[in-house]
Amino acid sequence: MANRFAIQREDGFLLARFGLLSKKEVLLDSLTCLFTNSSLLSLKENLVRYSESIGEAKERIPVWNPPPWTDSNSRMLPVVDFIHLCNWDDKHAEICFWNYSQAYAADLTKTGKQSEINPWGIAILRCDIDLQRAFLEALYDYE
Amino acid sequence: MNSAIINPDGVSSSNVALVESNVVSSGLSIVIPCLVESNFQISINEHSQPSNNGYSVGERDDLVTWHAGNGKRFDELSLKESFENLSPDELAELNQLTRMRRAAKYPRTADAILWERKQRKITSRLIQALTEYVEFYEPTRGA
Repeated sequence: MANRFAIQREDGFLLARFGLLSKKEVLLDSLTCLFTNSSLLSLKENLVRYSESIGEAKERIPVWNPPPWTDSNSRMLPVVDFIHLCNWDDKHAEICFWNYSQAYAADLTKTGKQSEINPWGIAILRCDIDLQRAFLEALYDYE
Repeated sequence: MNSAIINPDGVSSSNVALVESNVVSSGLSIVIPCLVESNFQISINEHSQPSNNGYSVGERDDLVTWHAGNGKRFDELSLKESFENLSPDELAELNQLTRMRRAAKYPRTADAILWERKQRKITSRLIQALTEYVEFYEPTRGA
Protein backbone atom coordinates (compact mmCIF):
# COMPACT_ATOMS: atom_id res chain seq x y z
CA MET A 1 0.00 0.00 0.00
CA ALA A 2 1.17 3.55 -0.64
CA ASN A 3 0.09 7.11 0.17
CA ARG A 4 3.06 9.00 -1.32
CA PHE A 5 5.03 8.83 -4.53
CA ALA A 6 7.99 10.52 -6.14
CA ILE A 7 9.39 10.46 -9.64
CA GLN A 8 13.07 10.76 -10.41
CA ARG A 9 14.02 11.28 -14.06
CA GLU A 10 17.39 10.06 -15.28
CA ASP A 11 18.98 9.68 -18.71
CA GLY A 12 17.06 6.96 -20.51
CA PHE A 13 15.04 5.80 -17.53
CA LEU A 14 12.82 6.92 -14.70
CA LEU A 15 12.65 5.81 -11.08
CA ALA A 16 9.21 5.58 -9.52
CA ARG A 17 9.21 5.62 -5.74
CA PHE A 18 6.17 4.76 -3.63
CA GLY A 19 5.97 5.08 0.13
CA LEU A 20 3.54 4.34 2.90
CA LEU A 21 3.85 6.98 5.60
CA SER A 22 2.18 6.95 9.00
CA LYS A 23 0.45 10.00 10.47
CA LYS A 24 3.75 10.89 12.14
CA GLU A 25 5.51 10.73 8.78
CA VAL A 26 7.28 7.48 9.61
CA LEU A 27 8.06 5.44 6.51
CA LEU A 28 6.36 2.10 7.03
CA ASP A 29 7.00 0.55 3.63
CA SER A 30 8.29 1.50 0.21
CA LEU A 31 8.63 0.30 -3.34
CA THR A 32 11.00 1.49 -6.04
CA CYS A 33 10.84 0.43 -9.65
CA LEU A 34 12.37 1.52 -12.92
CA PHE A 35 10.83 2.38 -16.27
CA THR A 36 12.91 2.64 -19.41
CA ASN A 37 12.03 5.51 -21.74
CA SER A 38 11.12 3.02 -24.46
CA SER A 39 8.62 1.24 -22.19
CA LEU A 40 7.07 4.56 -21.22
CA LEU A 41 6.71 5.43 -24.88
CA SER A 42 5.03 2.13 -25.74
CA LEU A 43 2.61 2.52 -22.82
CA LYS A 44 1.88 6.18 -23.48
CA GLU A 45 -1.37 5.85 -25.46
CA ASN A 46 -2.88 3.36 -23.03
CA LEU A 47 -1.88 5.12 -19.81
CA VAL A 48 -2.73 8.66 -20.92
CA ARG A 49 -6.13 7.57 -22.22
CA TYR A 50 -6.84 5.74 -18.97
CA SER A 51 -5.63 8.80 -17.07
CA GLU A 52 -8.06 10.98 -18.99
CA SER A 53 -10.91 8.56 -18.35
CA ILE A 54 -10.44 8.77 -14.56
CA GLY A 55 -9.86 12.53 -14.47
CA GLU A 56 -7.39 14.61 -12.52
CA ALA A 57 -6.62 14.30 -8.81
CA LYS A 58 -9.17 16.06 -6.65
CA GLU A 59 -6.91 16.30 -3.62
CA ARG A 60 -3.23 17.02 -3.91
CA ILE A 61 -0.86 14.27 -2.79
CA PRO A 62 1.74 15.79 -0.41
CA VAL A 63 5.20 16.13 -1.88
CA TRP A 64 7.47 13.34 -0.67
CA ASN A 65 11.25 13.40 -0.70
CA PRO A 66 12.21 9.76 -0.36
CA PRO A 67 15.59 8.72 0.98
CA PRO A 68 18.02 8.43 -1.95
CA TRP A 69 18.15 5.04 -3.60
CA THR A 70 21.67 3.67 -3.72
CA ASP A 71 23.25 0.37 -4.53
CA SER A 72 23.67 -0.16 -0.78
CA ASN A 73 19.95 -0.86 -0.63
CA SER A 74 21.18 -4.27 -1.84
CA ARG A 75 18.00 -4.96 -3.73
CA MET A 76 17.71 -5.17 -7.49
CA LEU A 77 15.60 -2.52 -9.11
CA PRO A 78 12.76 -4.20 -10.95
CA VAL A 79 12.25 -2.99 -14.52
CA VAL A 80 8.61 -2.44 -15.39
CA ASP A 81 7.33 -3.24 -18.88
CA PHE A 82 3.69 -2.53 -18.33
CA ILE A 83 1.25 -1.32 -15.75
CA HIS A 84 -2.19 -2.72 -15.14
CA LEU A 85 -4.45 -0.20 -13.45
CA CYS A 86 -7.92 -0.21 -12.02
CA ASN A 87 -10.12 1.79 -9.69
CA TRP A 88 -13.46 1.35 -8.02
CA ASP A 89 -16.04 3.38 -6.10
CA ASP A 90 -14.21 6.56 -7.18
CA LYS A 91 -12.03 6.05 -4.08
CA HIS A 92 -9.77 3.05 -4.31
CA ALA A 93 -7.21 2.07 -6.89
CA GLU A 94 -4.67 -0.57 -7.71
CA ILE A 95 -1.46 -0.33 -9.69
CA CYS A 96 0.09 -3.61 -10.80
CA PHE A 97 3.62 -3.69 -12.17
CA TRP A 98 4.64 -6.41 -14.59
CA ASN A 99 7.49 -7.28 -16.87
CA TYR A 100 8.20 -9.80 -19.58
CA SER A 101 11.10 -10.95 -21.70
CA GLN A 102 11.42 -9.11 -25.01
CA ALA A 103 13.27 -12.17 -26.34
CA TYR A 104 10.36 -14.44 -25.43
CA ALA A 105 7.86 -12.02 -26.99
CA ALA A 106 9.96 -11.85 -30.17
CA ASP A 107 10.13 -15.65 -30.42
CA LEU A 108 6.37 -16.00 -29.94
CA THR A 109 5.68 -13.44 -32.65
CA LYS A 110 8.04 -15.11 -35.08
CA THR A 111 6.56 -18.57 -34.60
CA GLY A 112 3.03 -17.17 -34.68
CA LYS A 113 1.83 -20.00 -32.46
CA GLN A 114 0.70 -17.94 -29.52
CA SER A 115 -0.71 -14.45 -29.36
CA GLU A 116 -0.44 -13.93 -25.60
CA ILE A 117 2.32 -14.12 -23.09
CA ASN A 118 2.15 -14.40 -19.36
CA PRO A 119 4.17 -11.63 -17.78
CA TRP A 120 5.92 -11.74 -14.43
CA GLY A 121 4.36 -9.83 -11.59
CA ILE A 122 6.61 -7.34 -9.84
CA ALA A 123 4.26 -5.78 -7.32
CA ILE A 124 0.66 -4.93 -6.60
CA LEU A 125 0.12 -1.56 -5.04
CA ARG A 126 -3.12 -0.47 -3.39
CA CYS A 127 -3.72 3.25 -3.01
CA ASP A 128 -6.23 6.05 -3.04
CA ILE A 129 -7.53 6.89 -6.52
CA ASP A 130 -6.04 10.40 -6.24
CA LEU A 131 -2.55 8.92 -5.86
CA GLN A 132 -3.11 6.87 -9.02
CA ARG A 133 -4.37 9.98 -10.84
CA ALA A 134 -1.41 12.10 -9.70
CA PHE A 135 1.11 9.37 -10.52
CA LEU A 136 -0.20 9.00 -14.08
CA GLU A 137 -0.16 12.77 -14.59
CA ALA A 138 3.42 12.97 -13.31
CA LEU A 139 4.60 10.07 -15.44
CA TYR A 140 4.11 12.02 -18.68
CA ASP A 141 4.68 15.51 -17.36
CA TYR A 142 7.84 16.44 -19.23
CA GLU A 143 8.06 20.11 -18.22
CA MET B 1 -9.62 -6.32 -25.14
CA ASN B 2 -7.53 -3.25 -24.63
CA SER B 3 -3.88 -4.10 -24.64
CA ALA B 4 -0.63 -2.31 -24.80
CA ILE B 5 1.30 -3.10 -27.90
CA ILE B 6 4.43 -5.12 -27.72
CA ASN B 7 6.49 -4.32 -30.73
CA PRO B 8 9.14 -6.98 -31.00
CA ASP B 9 10.22 -5.89 -34.49
CA GLY B 10 13.93 -5.54 -34.54
CA VAL B 11 14.43 -7.56 -31.38
CA SER B 12 16.86 -10.36 -31.97
CA SER B 13 16.86 -13.25 -29.57
CA SER B 14 18.55 -16.52 -29.05
CA ASN B 15 16.20 -19.42 -29.59
CA VAL B 16 14.74 -21.03 -26.53
CA ALA B 17 13.29 -24.51 -26.54
CA LEU B 18 10.14 -24.67 -24.46
CA VAL B 19 9.81 -27.71 -22.25
CA GLU B 20 6.38 -28.71 -21.04
CA SER B 21 6.01 -27.77 -17.42
CA ASN B 22 4.72 -30.02 -14.68
CA VAL B 23 3.98 -27.18 -12.33
CA VAL B 24 0.60 -27.55 -10.68
CA SER B 25 -1.09 -24.48 -9.31
CA SER B 26 -3.91 -24.11 -6.85
CA GLY B 27 -7.23 -23.03 -8.28
CA LEU B 28 -8.12 -19.40 -7.93
CA SER B 29 -11.52 -17.94 -7.40
CA ILE B 30 -11.86 -14.18 -7.63
CA VAL B 31 -14.87 -12.09 -6.73
CA ILE B 32 -14.55 -8.86 -8.65
CA PRO B 33 -16.30 -5.68 -7.46
CA CYS B 34 -18.89 -4.84 -10.08
CA LEU B 35 -17.79 -1.31 -10.99
CA VAL B 36 -14.08 -1.71 -11.39
CA GLU B 37 -12.64 0.33 -14.24
CA SER B 38 -9.32 -0.75 -15.65
CA ASN B 39 -6.98 0.03 -18.51
CA PHE B 40 -6.79 -3.61 -19.55
CA GLN B 41 -9.40 -6.29 -19.57
CA ILE B 42 -8.65 -9.21 -17.30
CA SER B 43 -9.56 -12.45 -18.98
CA ILE B 44 -10.72 -15.07 -16.59
CA ASN B 45 -10.54 -18.54 -17.99
CA GLU B 46 -13.39 -20.95 -17.63
CA HIS B 47 -13.23 -24.24 -15.74
CA SER B 48 -11.88 -22.56 -12.56
CA GLN B 49 -8.42 -22.10 -13.95
CA PRO B 50 -6.26 -19.35 -12.52
CA SER B 51 -7.11 -15.97 -13.96
CA ASN B 52 -4.67 -15.01 -16.62
CA ASN B 53 -3.76 -11.45 -17.27
CA GLY B 54 -3.33 -12.08 -20.96
CA TYR B 55 -1.07 -9.73 -22.78
CA SER B 56 -1.86 -9.72 -26.46
CA VAL B 57 0.82 -9.17 -28.99
CA GLY B 58 -0.05 -6.45 -31.48
CA GLU B 59 -3.73 -6.29 -30.64
CA ARG B 60 -5.53 -3.17 -29.54
CA ASP B 61 -9.08 -1.99 -29.02
CA ASP B 62 -10.87 0.95 -27.47
CA LEU B 63 -10.40 1.56 -23.79
CA VAL B 64 -13.88 2.69 -22.98
CA THR B 65 -17.10 0.82 -23.51
CA TRP B 66 -19.95 3.21 -24.19
CA HIS B 67 -23.43 1.80 -24.48
CA ALA B 68 -26.98 3.05 -24.90
CA GLY B 69 -27.60 3.04 -21.14
CA ASN B 70 -24.72 5.45 -20.60
CA GLY B 71 -26.05 7.69 -23.37
CA LYS B 72 -29.54 7.79 -21.85
CA ARG B 73 -28.20 8.63 -18.40
CA PHE B 74 -25.90 11.30 -19.89
CA ASP B 75 -28.89 12.91 -21.64
CA GLU B 76 -30.96 12.80 -18.43
CA LEU B 77 -28.27 14.44 -16.32
CA SER B 78 -27.37 17.02 -18.97
CA LEU B 79 -31.01 18.04 -19.26
CA LYS B 80 -31.41 18.20 -15.49
CA GLU B 81 -28.27 20.29 -15.15
CA SER B 82 -29.66 22.91 -17.54
CA PHE B 83 -32.80 23.41 -15.42
CA GLU B 84 -31.67 22.83 -11.82
CA ASN B 85 -28.65 22.22 -9.64
CA LEU B 86 -27.31 18.69 -9.58
CA SER B 87 -26.38 16.97 -6.33
CA PRO B 88 -22.64 16.37 -5.80
CA ASP B 89 -23.12 12.66 -6.63
CA GLU B 90 -25.01 13.49 -9.82
CA LEU B 91 -22.41 16.05 -10.82
CA ALA B 92 -19.61 13.50 -10.29
CA GLU B 93 -21.58 10.97 -12.36
CA LEU B 94 -22.12 13.51 -15.14
CA ASN B 95 -18.41 14.37 -15.18
CA GLN B 96 -17.50 10.69 -15.36
CA LEU B 97 -20.02 10.09 -18.17
CA THR B 98 -18.73 13.15 -20.03
CA ARG B 99 -15.18 11.79 -19.90
CA MET B 100 -16.32 8.33 -21.00
CA ARG B 101 -18.41 9.76 -23.83
CA ARG B 102 -15.55 11.89 -25.07
CA ALA B 103 -13.11 8.97 -24.93
CA ALA B 104 -15.51 6.60 -26.72
CA LYS B 105 -17.04 8.91 -29.32
CA TYR B 106 -14.26 11.41 -29.89
CA PRO B 107 -11.07 9.57 -28.94
CA ARG B 108 -7.95 11.70 -28.84
CA THR B 109 -4.34 10.72 -29.04
CA ALA B 110 -2.17 10.78 -25.94
CA ASP B 111 -0.28 13.75 -27.37
CA ALA B 112 -3.51 15.72 -27.83
CA ILE B 113 -4.58 14.95 -24.25
CA LEU B 114 -1.17 15.93 -22.87
CA TRP B 115 -1.12 19.12 -24.94
CA GLU B 116 -4.53 20.17 -23.59
CA ARG B 117 -3.40 19.36 -20.05
CA LYS B 118 -0.31 21.50 -20.50
CA GLN B 119 -2.33 24.42 -21.89
CA ARG B 120 -4.74 24.20 -18.96
CA LYS B 121 -1.84 24.24 -16.52
CA ILE B 122 -0.24 27.27 -18.22
CA THR B 123 -3.55 29.16 -18.22
CA SER B 124 -4.10 28.33 -14.57
CA ARG B 125 -0.61 29.59 -13.64
CA LEU B 126 -1.17 32.75 -15.68
CA ILE B 127 -4.43 33.49 -13.88
CA GLN B 128 -2.78 32.80 -10.53
CA ALA B 129 0.13 35.12 -11.36
CA LEU B 130 -2.26 37.81 -12.54
CA THR B 131 -4.38 37.69 -9.41
CA GLU B 132 -1.26 38.35 -7.34
CA TYR B 133 -0.57 41.63 -9.15
CA VAL B 134 -3.89 42.76 -10.50
CA GLU B 135 -7.08 43.55 -8.72
CA PHE B 136 -9.97 42.61 -10.97
CA TYR B 137 -12.82 45.05 -11.23
CA GLU B 138 -16.03 43.54 -9.93
CA PRO B 139 -19.03 45.63 -10.89
CA THR B 140 -21.69 45.98 -8.24
CA ARG B 141 -25.30 45.48 -9.13
CA GLY B 142 -27.08 48.51 -10.46
CA ALA B 143 -23.84 50.40 -10.96
